[in-house]
Amino acid sequence: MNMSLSLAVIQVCVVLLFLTIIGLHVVKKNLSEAALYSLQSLTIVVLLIAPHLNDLSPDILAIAFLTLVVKVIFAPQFLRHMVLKNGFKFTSSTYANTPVTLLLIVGILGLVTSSIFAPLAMLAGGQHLTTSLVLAAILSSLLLVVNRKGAFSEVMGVLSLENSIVAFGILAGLEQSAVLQLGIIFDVSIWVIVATVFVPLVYQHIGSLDVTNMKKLRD
Amino acid sequence: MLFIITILGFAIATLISVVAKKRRIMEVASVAASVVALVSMSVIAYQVGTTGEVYSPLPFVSIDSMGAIAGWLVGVVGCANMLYAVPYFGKELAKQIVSPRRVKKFYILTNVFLGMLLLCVAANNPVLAWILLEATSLSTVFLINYYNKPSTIEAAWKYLIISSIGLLLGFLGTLLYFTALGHQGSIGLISWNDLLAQAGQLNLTIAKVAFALVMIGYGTKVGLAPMHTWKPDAYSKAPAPIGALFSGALLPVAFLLILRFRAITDAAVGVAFSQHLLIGFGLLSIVIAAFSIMVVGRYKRLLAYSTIEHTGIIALGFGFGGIGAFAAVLHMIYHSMIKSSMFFATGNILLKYSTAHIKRVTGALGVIPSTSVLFFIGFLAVTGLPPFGIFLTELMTLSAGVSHYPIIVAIALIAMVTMFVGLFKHISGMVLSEPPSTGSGIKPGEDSNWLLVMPAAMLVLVLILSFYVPPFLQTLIQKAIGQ
Repeated sequence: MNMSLSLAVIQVCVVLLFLTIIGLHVVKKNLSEAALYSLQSLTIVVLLIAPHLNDLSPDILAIAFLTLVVKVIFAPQFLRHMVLKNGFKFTSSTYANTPVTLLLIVGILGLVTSSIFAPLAMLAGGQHLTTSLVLAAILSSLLLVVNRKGAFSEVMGVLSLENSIVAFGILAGLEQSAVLQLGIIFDVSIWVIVATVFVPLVYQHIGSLDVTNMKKLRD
Repeated sequence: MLFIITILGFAIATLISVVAKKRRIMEVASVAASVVALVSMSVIAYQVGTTGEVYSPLPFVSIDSMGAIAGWLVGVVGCANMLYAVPYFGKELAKQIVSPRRVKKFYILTNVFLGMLLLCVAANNPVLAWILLEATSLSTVFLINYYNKPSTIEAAWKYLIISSIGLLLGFLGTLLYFTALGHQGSIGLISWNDLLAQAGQLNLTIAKVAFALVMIGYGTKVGLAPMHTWKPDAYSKAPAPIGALFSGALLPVAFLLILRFRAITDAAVGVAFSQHLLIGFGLLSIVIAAFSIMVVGRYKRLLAYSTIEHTGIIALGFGFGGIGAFAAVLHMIYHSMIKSSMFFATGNILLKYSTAHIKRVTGALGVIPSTSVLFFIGFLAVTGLPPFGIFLTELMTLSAGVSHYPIIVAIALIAMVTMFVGLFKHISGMVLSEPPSTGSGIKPGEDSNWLLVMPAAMLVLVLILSFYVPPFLQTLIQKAIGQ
């Protein structure tokens, strides 16, 4: 009973994870991006617990709780505060427009379900379709960083990529010990702090969050 | 114990730099911590080299032969960096280029950076090593933005995003290696040796994908092309001592991690796959650096492209194997020291001319003769002219590959000659041209003789090591390439 429940929860979480990334590609507001990241991180918290529903250890609960605090509450709140404090306007510029972006995501879905990605998809045993979706999430997050011209969206892309890789680790049974998970969460929280220091600096110096306006580096 | 003292030293120096109000206290604490690190890492390298045993004072701290070499380089370059930084930032403060607050920031972050690098060298667990390397990115991003100008912010932003993506891909690659353990559920603190022992269990395709991701991920940190794009900007915008640390300390540590994963990959799929990747990335780095050098407008960018070229030569050496691998390790040692010396010299040039543009630096030999001579000797050394050791290591690398990869060796040789011509064109223009007019406001004379000590010391050290490689270092290199 618990096993099938675990599987169902995992599948729902992975679908949600993927949908949040599509959302990050589509939304046109910084605060909506922060909210989507929060939701995405919540799926990671559930994913951390779901495979262990039968034997929930204090370690897993502690890591899930910390992930909840850092990624679901602290980081999005930090980003939200930064947006409101600085009055950032959303930079909607992308290299590929929304229909083309969605087509690219469809292409990614096709790619991850092809034989090229089969060895990776098979890592999670019978759940290869779910694993394929996580691989699609990884590639779609990379696409987000590459496609968006806004500094804030790039930050969201990096954070989303990190969530997707963690999800892949959980699904493939490659979760690390509690100490290392703590280290990874610590790294993420420091990264968010660093990013929230730099995004306003970028805004101050180039007058927008559009990174294509960064022209001072040209020789 | 020695290693723990070293890390504690950097932790204490960081704390002192945070709380101290007087610059002198920060300087003393930081220099003392770096001297302790140099002595400790030298002793550890000597111990590992003479006894042949892995240094492991704690369960998940272990320094093997390659780790000892990388750690020793961090010690040498870190100490030289701190000793140079004291007079350098003293002059920047005197000229009101920076505020005391910024100098404080430098000492805090550099101590954190050096401590993290050494912990990364000693980390016996791949994920822990990844966490520590990521932590170095987060401290150095503020150092790249040290001068807080639009261009430094752009460089720091570029570095933050590119290195973060690179390291995340490296993390994915790292995770894939854990599939060898066939473990469902939480994986404990797995050591490099555990992974190596289980390498046979790795799926061949997974092992290849994992190593490719590691090459991209950690290769971004190393600065292998095409992931090198952050490097010219970061090197040119960061203060000179940080450029030296990037080139001389960060590069060997990131390469160390690639080599550790390479050993596991080779055990799983044979040597050919990693060999081809290293040769491919290496050659691309040399070629891209050589053809970019001609259009470079700032002198610290010259050094960045030169570093990319040397990263490529080191990768080629490891790729060719045999005598090439021996040459690669030795090349890494020489390069770290020469490039540090050259970065220190660019610091002196910047202090005197107040410009980073090559065209605006003229007649340096007449204005700052000692710095110019050191900079020019550095150029001769880094481009592989005898009697400097790089001549020999480049020769060894190319001869290691000539029988199996003659076309690659030929392309690399052409690119290396192009690099020499490009560097000579720019550096001779800076050093040997007509001195600036008296109306330019540039007064002839070195800013301080203390600023010459470290660039000279690093070149002397390279010269000594070019003629005499101590037996313990030879043993370390031989063991490192045999791993």
